Amino acid sequence: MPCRALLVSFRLLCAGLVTGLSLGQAIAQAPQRVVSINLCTDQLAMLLAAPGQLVSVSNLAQDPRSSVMVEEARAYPSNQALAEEVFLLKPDLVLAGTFTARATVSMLERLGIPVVSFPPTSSLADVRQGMLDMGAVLHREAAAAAMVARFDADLARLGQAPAAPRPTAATYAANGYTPGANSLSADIIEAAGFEHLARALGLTQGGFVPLEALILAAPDLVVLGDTYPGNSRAEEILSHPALTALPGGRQKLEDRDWVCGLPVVVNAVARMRLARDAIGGAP
Amino acid sequence: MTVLSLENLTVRRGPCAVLSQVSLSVAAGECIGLIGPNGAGKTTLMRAALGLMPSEGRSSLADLPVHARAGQAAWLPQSPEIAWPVTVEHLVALGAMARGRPAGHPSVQHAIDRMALGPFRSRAANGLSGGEQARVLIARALAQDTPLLLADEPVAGLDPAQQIRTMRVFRALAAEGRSVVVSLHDLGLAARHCTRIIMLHQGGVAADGPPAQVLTDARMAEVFGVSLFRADTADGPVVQPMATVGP
Amino acid sequence: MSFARLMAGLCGLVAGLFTLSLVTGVAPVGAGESLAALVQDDGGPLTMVMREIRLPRALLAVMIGISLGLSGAAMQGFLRNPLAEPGLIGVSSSAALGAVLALQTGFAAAFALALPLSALIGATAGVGLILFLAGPGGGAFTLILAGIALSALTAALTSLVLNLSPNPFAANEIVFWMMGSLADRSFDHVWMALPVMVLGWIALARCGRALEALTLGEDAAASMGFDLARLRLVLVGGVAGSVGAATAVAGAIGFVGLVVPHVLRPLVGGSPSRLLPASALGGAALVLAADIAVRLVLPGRDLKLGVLMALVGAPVFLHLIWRMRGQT
Repeated sequence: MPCRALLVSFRLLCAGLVTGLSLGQAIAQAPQRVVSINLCTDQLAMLLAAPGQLVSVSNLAQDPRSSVMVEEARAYPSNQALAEEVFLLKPDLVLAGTFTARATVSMLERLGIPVVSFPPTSSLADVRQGMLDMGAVLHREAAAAAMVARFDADLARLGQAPAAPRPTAATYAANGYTPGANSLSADIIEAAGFEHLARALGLTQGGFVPLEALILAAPDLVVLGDTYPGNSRAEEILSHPALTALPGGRQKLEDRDWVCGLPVVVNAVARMRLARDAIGGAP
Repeated sequence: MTVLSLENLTVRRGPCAVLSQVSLSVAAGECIGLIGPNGAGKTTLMRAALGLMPSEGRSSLADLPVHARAGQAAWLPQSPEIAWPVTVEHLVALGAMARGRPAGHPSVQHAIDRMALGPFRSRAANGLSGGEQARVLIARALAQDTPLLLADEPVAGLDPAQQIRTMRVFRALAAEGRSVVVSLHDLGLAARHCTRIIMLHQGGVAADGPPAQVLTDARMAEVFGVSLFRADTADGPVVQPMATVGP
Repeated sequence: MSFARLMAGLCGLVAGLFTLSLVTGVAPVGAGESLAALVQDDGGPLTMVMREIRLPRALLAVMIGISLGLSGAAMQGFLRNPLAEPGLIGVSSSAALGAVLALQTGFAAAFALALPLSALIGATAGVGLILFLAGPGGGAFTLILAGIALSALTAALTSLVLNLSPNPFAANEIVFWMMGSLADRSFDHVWMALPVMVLGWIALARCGRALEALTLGEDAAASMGFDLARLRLVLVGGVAGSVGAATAVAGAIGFVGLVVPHVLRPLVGGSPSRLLPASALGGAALVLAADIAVRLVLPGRDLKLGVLMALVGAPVFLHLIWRMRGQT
């Protein structure tokens, strides 16, 4: 499956569904052989795991288009999130996402391997919670607490965005997809002092915005990702003359910059704040 | 005046010649019956003369550029085809179109009258009976208004009255100074209506001349394998194949 | 109905549907306001929507309709077979293969007309193969069988190329190339397709008299002074140019070239040459209507044009087959 489609499916989902071991459930001993099969748990685990604790990460973590930790990930054997290969790694804990590789997860559970599934991150608050959860699961609570403290300090350093006026920002991806108002990217955009167009259009869970609707809404900022090599009609919409001619500003943010609840999310907030400050007081 | 001359016209299909070294000429005012048993090369001779198939030797018609041929000869193929439900009038007018003339050209009306198609003129041509369609297609060829008309079995499928009327039209054309080459299986019609008969046999010309000179007992037996019954009537001579002869 | 009145009626129909297409969209804006914004630049986003999104879309619908209607009428006239239609016999999908190859190899970006010309090459191969297999004496069912084989092969190759693309979205676009859509096309596409299309239209428009003569069959037409070898070349070029350019920008849209000549043939008295301009206008009207319908049925969801065309066209196709079955 195309990796972006995978990522996109993340944001469509509501949080809170956890299968297997619940996140709150204490694991008596620190796991020694941890395998991660999800891009977001891959990166968070690499940041928090003790040396030697993490055995394998998914191959997406090594893909520069989706991961911000490509170099780090190359130090680990990669997996394709297939039950067979994960089982042969003899893990004592598997980290998964609640909505990815479900078949693999249920197979591993039947084989008696403990699996912890992390819900997708849909707000800055979720980012903190995700760090603490990962810390608890890996028995690395202290490292997680330090990470949260650094994250909060970095965010605080950015300061409060001006409360008013709030210019409108729209995220626009292939096929006219935009994440909904209940997504991490929307929270980041709003934290940077923007009104998110998806919220104005009533899209809470993300969806497709026709180009016409986007043009007529005339957002002050359009946030675009990078396009893939090769041609696709889905991405041609991003170079449509009507979109190019839209008078508002442009901000480039890759999926990898804000799809997972990682400390680097701060950078996305900072870049959006710069874009907000560039617009100034009169949108 | 010669309207068509063939010199050593030869058509090969694979190693064997289906038409070999045919030389003849057609003069203005002739109504020529082309006869011969099945496979003698009647259709091949006419198509090669028109330049519709590759051949060796010379044909005065095939030597012309494609667009100029339409002014010299009209062609009535044996298997009629009317692909679309066009009206009789529209179809006949295609003959005029081939000459770059408008549908209202007098030649169109003349052809419709000549084939007595007035009552059908607004009907869809491909909805008519087989015999009516054959008349429409003859009218189409007449509307091309050429010095020469080549017709392949034009009376096959017509009732006796229509056969006679059609042959009379051809004969009348010849009387006007045009020339007609018509292939026929009906030797009686050929003998009665043609001014000249060319008998083909195994890809070559077996005989060429007035009907009485061509349709001899010896040639009928040799080429067709039949004997002829002959009679003289007030309207002229009549012939009718009677019995098979020979092996 | 006289031919002049038919053509005037079709022109009026196209003009009306063109206007309707311009005022159809997801944005809740009144028709008068939209058209005013189209004519006079209000400096706001509505003019942008009208001029850069809806106008090219409506223009492309007209251009593609003309191309497909004209190609269908011309191919049917040449093969004397009412089932000959670029979409059904694999010419459109050959063009799609050419376009997809050009896009995924990057050749499409080499020069301005690289994409439509690549589709033209694909369509030329397709229509050439079809005429070779089902040309003189081929008959209706040879045509359909050859078309099925060609469609299947080119569709498979198109899918293969799209699946091999480094772009993860490409593989999901097989349906676009097979069903066609005009969603979010721009003037870039209009200017890219128009030159190649116009050359195709001119070529096909010049075939009228020869197609008329072909009503009587190949032999009669040849004896009437028409060079059939040359006609075949002009026709292949015309169909390939029209269908190639149309497919390059909007994917393969089937059934237009089948339905339109079928409906209009009785109204032009069966004449193949009159059917050409009538089918061009009829095609424009049908594609415009279908493109309006896809926007009304599922607003903002890019329902494919081919879906609607098949709903209208397949019954006509089946009817024609049933009727031909009665003849043989």
